[in-house]
Amino acid sequence: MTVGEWLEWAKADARTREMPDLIGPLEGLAQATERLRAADWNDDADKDKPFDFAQGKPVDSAEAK
Amino acid sequence: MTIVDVAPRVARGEVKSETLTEQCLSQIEALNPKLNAFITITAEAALKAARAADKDIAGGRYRGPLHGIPVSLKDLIDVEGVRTSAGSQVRVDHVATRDAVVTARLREAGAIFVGKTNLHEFAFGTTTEDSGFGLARNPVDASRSPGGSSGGSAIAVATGMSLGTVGTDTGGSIRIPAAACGIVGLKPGWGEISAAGVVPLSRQLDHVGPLASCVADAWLQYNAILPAAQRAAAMPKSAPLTGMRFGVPTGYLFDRLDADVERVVSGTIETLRAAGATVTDVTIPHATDMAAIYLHLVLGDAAEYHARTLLARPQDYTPNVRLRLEMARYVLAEDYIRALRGKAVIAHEVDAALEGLDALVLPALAIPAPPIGAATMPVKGGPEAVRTLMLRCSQPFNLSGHPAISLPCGTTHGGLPIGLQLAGHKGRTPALVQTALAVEHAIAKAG
Repeated sequence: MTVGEWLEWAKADARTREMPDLIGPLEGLAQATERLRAADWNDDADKDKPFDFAQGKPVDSAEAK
Repeated sequence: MTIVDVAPRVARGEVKSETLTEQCLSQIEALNPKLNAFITITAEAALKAARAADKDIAGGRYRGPLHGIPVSLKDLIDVEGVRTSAGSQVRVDHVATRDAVVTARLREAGAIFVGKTNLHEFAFGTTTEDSGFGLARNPVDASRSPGGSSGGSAIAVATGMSLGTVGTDTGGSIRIPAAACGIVGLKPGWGEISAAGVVPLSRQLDHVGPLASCVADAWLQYNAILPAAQRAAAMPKSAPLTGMRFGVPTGYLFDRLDADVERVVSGTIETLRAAGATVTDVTIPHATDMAAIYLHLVLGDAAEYHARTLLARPQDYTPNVRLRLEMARYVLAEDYIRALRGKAVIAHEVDAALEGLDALVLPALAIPAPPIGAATMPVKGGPEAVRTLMLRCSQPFNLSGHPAISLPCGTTHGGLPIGLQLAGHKGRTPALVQTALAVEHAIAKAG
């Protein structure tokens, strides 16, 4: 689920629950989630670049070999 | 009045615990109607315990520097037979059946409990405005917040309602109110002090620690609530600043400061340099991601803890805290896991930044105490949300688990307190306290 899809679902759910005040906070949370998902420490199934915690950056696969 | 000054006089019988306790209770009676620092006042039990302490001390059974000293506890820490409200009507009928570990350790040290202090509901906020028992007010300027979530605790110490207090810190909830009220707040390293018997916000970010009038008083309380085998026989001695090494984490943590905070903290860093310390710039490369990491972790953990009561008794939460908890229920598991990995990244980066240094030095709080009801505050770069600003400088060390301390370093042009923060190595909180003693001395000397 993309952040955009998640946000639409969450906002619709908030409306169904008659909690319109939740929509603003959910939009703020969505921005934070976008940032989190863009971080370079995240794993990715189609890439071979595990994050090296000691170096604070993804391991370059050529270096790793 | 400080614990470190009065304790020897109590030990010698020159000052009675009963007298100290009566003085604190008088302060509570005089100031609490205006500042709302206490939710529960245990006057009768406190006076009874104080008289017993006086008898023990006179009989040669002195237990140490907290014996006979009136203290308070944030009202999410259990005291047997007393309500633990966590600042919420959700827990209005909850009476603790046993002491929290920290309560038991303070009791063993001979401390006298005068009451339970007000807090931001369930520690889920930085201003102590959203409390099920009414908002608390800053003792320096009652139109402003005392900070939070341990707001009542900070007020209590700042006004002499208690000589010491113990609070909790999940994103800055000890250091933020300490800075806002002009006192000292020590967040020990994660896991150093037991959180058993303490209502959680996020068990992986929660820290238990003291707020105090000075660094030495923070040490005395910290030492008393450690496991017995880890307690030190004596307080660390203040060492000269000459040769000490400090790192300034430039960038994100200095980017959005109030002008007075920036001026005073920069001036204090120059004071350290002038006193012989070495000060260098350091970086925390993923600092810009910290707010997003923190938010997902604290929301996920709070959603789990509050799931049942939020469904059953939503009307018993304050509106703002309820809204935050409702939002928390939408955090996805995959994003929570990303945040967990980010937490580990930050911990490594703080370790790396500290390499070869005694401590990191930075503001404890990016802004002075905000006016009650303020949604945003002006800072360098334009106005920003109060909650985001208040967490900005303190939350790194909740994510990383490093010990950190806030101590007063000056005031704004309008007289509001400003806090300096020092963060030290994991497992070396006594060394951090020793550094803080030296910094406190240098600040006092610089006048």
